[in-house]
Amino acid sequence: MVQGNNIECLKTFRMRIPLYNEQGNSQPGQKYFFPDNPIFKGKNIVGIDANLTGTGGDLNANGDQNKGILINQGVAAYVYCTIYGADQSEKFYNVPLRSFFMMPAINPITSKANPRRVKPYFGEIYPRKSFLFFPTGTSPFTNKAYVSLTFYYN
Amino acid sequence: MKPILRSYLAEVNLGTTTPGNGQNINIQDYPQLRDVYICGLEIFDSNQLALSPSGKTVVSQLKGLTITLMDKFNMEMVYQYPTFDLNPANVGGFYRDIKPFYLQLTKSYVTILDATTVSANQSVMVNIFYITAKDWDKYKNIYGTGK
Repeated sequence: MVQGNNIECLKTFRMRIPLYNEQGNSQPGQKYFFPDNPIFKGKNIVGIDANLTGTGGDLNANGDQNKGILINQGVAAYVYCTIYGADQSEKFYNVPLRSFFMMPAINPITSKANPRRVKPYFGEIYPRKSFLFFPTGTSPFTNKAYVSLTFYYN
Repeated sequence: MKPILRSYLAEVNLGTTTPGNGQNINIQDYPQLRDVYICGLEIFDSNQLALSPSGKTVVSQLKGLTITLMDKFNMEMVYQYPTFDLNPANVGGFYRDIKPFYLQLTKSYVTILDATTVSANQSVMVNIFYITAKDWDKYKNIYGTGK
């Protein structure tokens, strides 16, 4: 599969990461860890892409597997993502979630699809320590919300 | 765009008073960004980042700002580059690759060219893509030879 300008991979995997705890509450400043997933063990990530809903988004998936409301571009501007490497060191620190989705899916002027640029984040990752968070002093959403990330890997 | 092996989001706060035209704001020291080769960077405005991780508001415009990056020999490897062009939203979703050089972050700075576009206590958010010096030999072939 080839996606974007320079990503070539064998497989992709879309991960849903809830922005709330087991009681369904979300708290600014709290870390929301990635679900542990053995699919990443020994795999080399070659790109990461966010999927957002709403105007300019690329996915309508509210209630997907009862995860809640998929976030949109406006909410994504509050969320940061830290990803650990397989050696359990910080690999990508405080990546703005919005930077995984830099261009609206549809060009608002021409109404044509924009080319997607998948960020070529590279290497083995350790999802169990990786997390999302949004800064204190914000409450960008009221409902249970979740983030969708597509990983491209070999 | 070349592969991103490591990244770190640095925050350049403009201070408690509005900076003046021509003022340089040095980038603070981040231990993670010592002894690294910088390979690329991207800068965001408030359209992409509503608040910095520390809770500061992010500059709303980048047209009045430039960035200068110094290497360990105090050479200005990137001199007064317009930050607007480092925002992937303005350049088709791409980030800027740099032929890697040994970064000296604490001597690197953001220059205010139009103070009317910024306010006190706002932050410029710089996402730096890098390779640690100890990993350089392992990965330098991907990026070409650096210093």
